[in-house]
Amino acid sequence: MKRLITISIILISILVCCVLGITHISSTNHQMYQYLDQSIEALQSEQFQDAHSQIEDAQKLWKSSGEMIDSYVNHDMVDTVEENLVRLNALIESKQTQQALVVIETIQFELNHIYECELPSLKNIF
Amino acid sequence: MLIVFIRAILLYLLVIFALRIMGKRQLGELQPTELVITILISNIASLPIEDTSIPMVTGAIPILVLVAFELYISNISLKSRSFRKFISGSPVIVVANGVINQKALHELRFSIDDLMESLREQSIFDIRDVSYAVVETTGGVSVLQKFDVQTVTPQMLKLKGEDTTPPVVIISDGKIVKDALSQYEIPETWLKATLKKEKQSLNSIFLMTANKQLQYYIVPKTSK
Repeated sequence: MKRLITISIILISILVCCVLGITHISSTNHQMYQYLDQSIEALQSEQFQDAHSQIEDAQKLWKSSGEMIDSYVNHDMVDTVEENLVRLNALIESKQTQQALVVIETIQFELNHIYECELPSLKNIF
Repeated sequence: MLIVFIRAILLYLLVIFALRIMGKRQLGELQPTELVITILISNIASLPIEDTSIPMVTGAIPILVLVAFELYISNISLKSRSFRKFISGSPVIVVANGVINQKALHELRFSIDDLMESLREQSIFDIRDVSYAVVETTGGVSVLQKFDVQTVTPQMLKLKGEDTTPPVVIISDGKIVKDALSQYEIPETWLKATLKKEKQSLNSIFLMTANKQLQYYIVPKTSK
């Protein structure tokens, strides 16, 4: 009986952590999208300094949240977002607007992909 | 490299914890579900060790979930006979009154070679000696030999004797096993007096066993 209770507590804790993990990714993505959307607006109006600071904020957020996300999401997916943020920063510094916008779209796709991969959908289960 | 090293240790500890939670079974007597779980756990545990891009929880969570469900199923099996039968099946009599049930063997996909091998493992080399043979749910075979070839027991010879308790290890590699002493209520003073009588010190003893009747056996350490 003691074992049953112990393992049930462990199982429920795992379920709770899984749900919290998905919620954490969702809230991180929401903030990341805000930074990325603002940087798109800044790039379109050629305010490169503004875009640069938005991406720096996004990088800081991803660095802090990414450590937690790394513990339950494939590391390669998390690293890819980080790499693209670095690339984006470099493109903004060299004022290559079109390429920067492409990279932003790629990052948005990757963020959404990370979230979708964690959802218990039929596609993911099977 | 260091990551692989640390992950290997952590997953090893987790697997030990998981197997301890599941309880004691000899490997050869696992039920089908337990065998599946054991194989799965070993395969799952190796994944995060081999590929460091996979988070460690990808190995840890499935192991814990499998252990949890194994415990739930075994608890339900304890309480429900029909569920137990559904999960583990039932033992099947393949030899009854010395007659081989060929239909039962065929249904079990148990060949005559398998049956003979199982009998030989129990030191039975002649099928004519078998009165009953049962294929258990673990795949093992239990045998009742015919009366003529059964090992003689004191009961058959109408001998009377006393039941003794099995000996337990009370000294292991120079250290007293206090749990064993308390199990049979053996006083430590008796132990010390016995060692004195045998002219042995605690550190010189490799193994000492004793039963409730204070019958003991000592194996001294040999020089290395």
